[in-house]
Amino acid sequence: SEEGRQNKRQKTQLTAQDIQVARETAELFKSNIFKLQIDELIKEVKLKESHSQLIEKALHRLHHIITLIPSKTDLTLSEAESYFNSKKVVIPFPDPKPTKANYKFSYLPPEDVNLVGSFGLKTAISQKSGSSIDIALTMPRELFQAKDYLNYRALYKRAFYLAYLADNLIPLSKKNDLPLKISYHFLNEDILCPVLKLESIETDNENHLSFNKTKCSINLIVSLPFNVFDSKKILPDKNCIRIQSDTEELPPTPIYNSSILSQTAYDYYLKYLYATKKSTDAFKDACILGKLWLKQRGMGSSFNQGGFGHFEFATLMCALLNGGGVNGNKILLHGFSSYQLFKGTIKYLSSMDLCSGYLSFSSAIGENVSSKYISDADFGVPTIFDKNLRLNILWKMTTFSYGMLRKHATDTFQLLKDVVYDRFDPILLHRADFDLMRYDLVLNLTIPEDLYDSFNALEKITFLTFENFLKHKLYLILQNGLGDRVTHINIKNEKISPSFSLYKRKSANSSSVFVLGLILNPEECDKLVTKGPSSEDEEAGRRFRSFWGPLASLRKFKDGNIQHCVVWNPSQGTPMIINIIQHILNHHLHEEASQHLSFDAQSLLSNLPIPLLPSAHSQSVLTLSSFTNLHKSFDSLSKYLTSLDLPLNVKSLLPASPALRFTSLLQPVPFCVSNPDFWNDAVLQFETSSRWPDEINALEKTKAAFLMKIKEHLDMKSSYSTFLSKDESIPFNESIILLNVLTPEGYGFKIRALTERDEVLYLRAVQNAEKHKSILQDVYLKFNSKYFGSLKHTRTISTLAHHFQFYSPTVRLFKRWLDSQLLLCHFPDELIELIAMKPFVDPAPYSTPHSVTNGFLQILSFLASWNWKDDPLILDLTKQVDQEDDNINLKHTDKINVQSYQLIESNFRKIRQADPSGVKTQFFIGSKDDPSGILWSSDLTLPISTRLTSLAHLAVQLIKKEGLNESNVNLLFTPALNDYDFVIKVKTYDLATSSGIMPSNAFKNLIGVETSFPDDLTSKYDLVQAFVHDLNRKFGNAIIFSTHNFTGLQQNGSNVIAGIFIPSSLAKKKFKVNLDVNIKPIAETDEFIINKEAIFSQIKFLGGDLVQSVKMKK
Amino acid sequence: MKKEVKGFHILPLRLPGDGVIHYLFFKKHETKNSGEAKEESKAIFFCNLPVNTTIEVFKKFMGNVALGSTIESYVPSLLNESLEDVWIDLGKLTSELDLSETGSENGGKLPKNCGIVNFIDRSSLQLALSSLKKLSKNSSIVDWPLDKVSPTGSAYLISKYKSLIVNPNDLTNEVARYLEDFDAAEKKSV
Repeated sequence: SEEGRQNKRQKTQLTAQDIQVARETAELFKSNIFKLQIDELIKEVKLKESHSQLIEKALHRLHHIITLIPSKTDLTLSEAESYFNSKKVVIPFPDPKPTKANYKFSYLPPEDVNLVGSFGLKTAISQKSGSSIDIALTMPRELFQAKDYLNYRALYKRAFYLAYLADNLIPLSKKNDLPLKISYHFLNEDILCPVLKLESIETDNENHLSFNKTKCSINLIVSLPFNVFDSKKILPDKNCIRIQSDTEELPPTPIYNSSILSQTAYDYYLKYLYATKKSTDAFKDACILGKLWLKQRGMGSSFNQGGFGHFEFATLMCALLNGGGVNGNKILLHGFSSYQLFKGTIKYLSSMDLCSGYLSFSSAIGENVSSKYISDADFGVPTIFDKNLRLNILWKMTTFSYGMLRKHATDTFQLLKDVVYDRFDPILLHRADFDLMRYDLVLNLTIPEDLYDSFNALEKITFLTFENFLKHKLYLILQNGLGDRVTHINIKNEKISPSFSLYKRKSANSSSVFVLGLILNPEECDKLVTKGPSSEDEEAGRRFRSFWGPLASLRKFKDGNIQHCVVWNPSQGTPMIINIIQHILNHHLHEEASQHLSFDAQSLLSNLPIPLLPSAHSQSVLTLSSFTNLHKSFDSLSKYLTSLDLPLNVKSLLPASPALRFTSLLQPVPFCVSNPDFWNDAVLQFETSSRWPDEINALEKTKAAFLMKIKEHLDMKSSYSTFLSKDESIPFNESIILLNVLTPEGYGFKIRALTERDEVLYLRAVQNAEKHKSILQDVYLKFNSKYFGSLKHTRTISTLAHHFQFYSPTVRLFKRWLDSQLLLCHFPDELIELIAMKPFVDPAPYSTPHSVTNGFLQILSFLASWNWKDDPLILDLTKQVDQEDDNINLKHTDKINVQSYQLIESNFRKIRQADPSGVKTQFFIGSKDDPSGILWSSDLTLPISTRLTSLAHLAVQLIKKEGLNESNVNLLFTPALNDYDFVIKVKTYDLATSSGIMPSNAFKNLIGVETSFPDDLTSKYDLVQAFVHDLNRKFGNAIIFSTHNFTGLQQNGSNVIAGIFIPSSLAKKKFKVNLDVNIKPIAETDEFIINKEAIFSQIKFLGGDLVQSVKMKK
Repeated sequence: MKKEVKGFHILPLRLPGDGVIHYLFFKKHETKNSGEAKEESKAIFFCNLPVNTTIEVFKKFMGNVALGSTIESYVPSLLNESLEDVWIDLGKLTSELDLSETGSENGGKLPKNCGIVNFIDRSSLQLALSSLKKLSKNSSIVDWPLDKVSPTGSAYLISKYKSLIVNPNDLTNEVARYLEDFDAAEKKSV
């Protein structure tokens, strides 16, 4: 019917709406799975019932003990101080300590004792590190006067109250069989808010109530009474600490004010959150998700953790349940699932700028005041403002910690939107707080002694602590000096314990080490010029010059503008940003700051070889000019060949080598034939012809004849020099001939010919094979990888290497590490490059690395945790698209979609079904280029794959525990030779220069570069490689041989060959003709065993002058 | 010490250099499958051969242990220099044309580290076989003369690199010959 046809037509045209529907369906499916995972997780993190009961019992007893504390009233300051035995308890007065007081100090029973915090809300979870239970004791209102918010007065009274509490708890807890260790503790590192930290003590006495095993401690918080002060007077822009000063107006004291205010509101906020919990079923679970999410990212309510933790997350959710949009529209609904609440909150954090605008809400219960986003307030600090209490609940945050929070939210929101990959683990289960992986650059600044003195009185009242002050100052300097070069800056102080003994007034001195973490903008970070204002803008010019000092200059740029600027010198070993930071800190923080600044990754970077090229030392690690020169040479050869007039013309010459995709360990240096990557594979395709012979050897011979024709052309009419060689890359095909071309620019290309007949014949062989089908399938796989796969791979990797600028140096460093560990020889380049690409295309929970260190560590960390027995690696090898245009990309994209993802995954399942423990196939790496997932990993062996995993694991452990100092880096790059059954030390060959490596100790000006090819290329080849190649062919079925592929990189050119006997070859056996292993009879038996001595003897014989010593494992 | 196993005689060899003992296994080679008037075998089958065994090595060896026996040819296993466990003829699997080299086996079917030594006539074989058996029976240790004919170390490894480079003239001839054979075989099959 007409209607039916119309329907059909409509169906064939995919509308934007269809796509939207499809997307939502996929998303719904994902969110359902996500929800199941959440339920599972919530169950797992729940507190044990027995633990909860124990804690409840302890809290009851504690409550009872508190009621036993007698009152004490009206002590003068000196009476108060002398009341305590100073060897046991000291009053934790904040700085400055009071010297005289015209008011009295008292203890009266608390107005209220309440469970607050996550235990109060019942959102507490069990944590390995233990958790704390917050109890608020509200001081009686009568102890205060209206003006006590000024000049620490309320805090002094509170400090006495706390000390008195402690002093009484010591004997009373003992008497009541609740053994406790009591110490002071700055809540959230707020030095204005000491609390009592109670830890349970395990004893042998059965009557003692111990809750040690719950890993919980109790924070006894002394709270100021709610509404005790006029909150208008302690708004963030008011000054509440009056000091002598020359300035007319004292600066506001926002941290002090907010601290006082929040000390009045523990119980108040619990009630607010509790009301929401009552009205929103999934609120509690969503709080737990938020808590976990923040914890994995190292964020929390304390100053140093960024000032955004469980409380802030939960309060934000409450606010969003009452509005939050620009018009007060509701962002979250009460009926939302925990997944939706979490996702909505993350989306809000990611999309709304709470620094240029702010969120205003009211914590008054039952008044239904809607929350509202106000877009242009520009307080300059992150703000979620509670209109009712007049408190900015983000008061402990800084601009930069807010920047990090927003970045985490943005990254997570992208993951939540992903409909292809399961993102639950990176969102909630994986830790993402290791500095060297979350930042691109990490620097440690040790504070010069005299810098503490610069912390003046006005700064003290604004920032309260040296840490807050210095972080603020550092941030301003870095932000100003680095500008667009960085996208995020985070500054933390070294962790100082917030707990201290009752006989001390405050915790240890200020931090002496600050950690600067930078996330770079890869487009800008290595720019040679820092551009300033135009020469005409005098005021801005003056500021620019004063900031940059003597480095500032005026230059005329290409566009004709004359601008202020600073020009930097790049260097191979040190990222330019480090130089800039050194300069600006010297100039603005302390004249010797750069000497106090350490950059640990330096020694890691020094493992990246420097090419033997003029000016290589002064080039950025991102410079690819050596690769570009190779490419130029390749392009002109390709042009030359396609223009030749031949019986059958050349259609194309396509690149297929590491150096032609920017990934060769050594950069290509002309005429350096000792470089193992000197020869670049290329695949030549002829124009279509139907006349290729229909038998494989005849086909190869015909191709060889064509290559000889090309050779004649090149020899006679060009400056290329050529020779032909045999190729061993396809098993059982001994007829393959390659055309080797040396270009006048100094590069080498190995050309193999491909016709449309090749694949047909290999497939036919598979079909005709009877008992050896799987061997023939492997042959086909080899052919496919060599003639098609490597071309695709080269194209894909080249594109991505341009997009991810740090990929090239990172993969080269990774190859260096593998080679130093004697592993590189076991893995095809392509496989290594795909593994190295993982953090660039799929870095979650971290983000795409913009430094070699970050990239390298993310690769190792992925390898260390990759459970390849159960999990395939499925890579989406597309450039990251602009995150805004989701809908456009759904239509026109190379991105992996659900279908292709599932296809690849099912390929993996099939392989694992046949090979559950991974004996044959270990690494499965699928992509659109290779849905089979095994194109590059079919030759690996279980011991080698396992070794890679365990070495990566050890490396990551070491770095996480001890950092990246020089000796650790050396350890990382030193092979564990003791693990091998035997180690052959071979003669040293100095191949550094002829490999194109800049010797580390050379004088820059004295290094000769090669300018022509040696007469006999083989005289410069690495004989160790030939030796290992030969040994593998002769003894490879009994022994796994390992060596450094890059002898030129070894110190003094000294290489080793290490061997491990394959366990099965060591077993006793019955005689068979096809044992394949050198055997000897065992006396008095019918059995035989491997003849190790004879094998070693023959190895030594073959190696001849090459072998210096053979060391056997004891 | 055992002297025989499954019909093979065991012969201890002293390897050059450090004089370590290596065990060679041998027996008279019987061709099984020829249905035609069976030619009496003139060959010895060797197993667990030391590396880099060539006809030169065998000639030297026989010169030492069985002077007067003349070797005609030596067929080593194709797997000796291969990473594979079995040898596969790709040509046969891609075409039904009969292009295999006629005459003696090419070693494709021999297991790794095995080889067949063909003697010029039966008396040469007898001489060689009886000498070897005698040595085996007496457990005499014989020097393996690998060092007399085979280069080692750097020279050997450079020669390995050079062996991959093809002489264009040889290649031209080889290609021409093969393609001629191929054409002929193709015509024959039509």
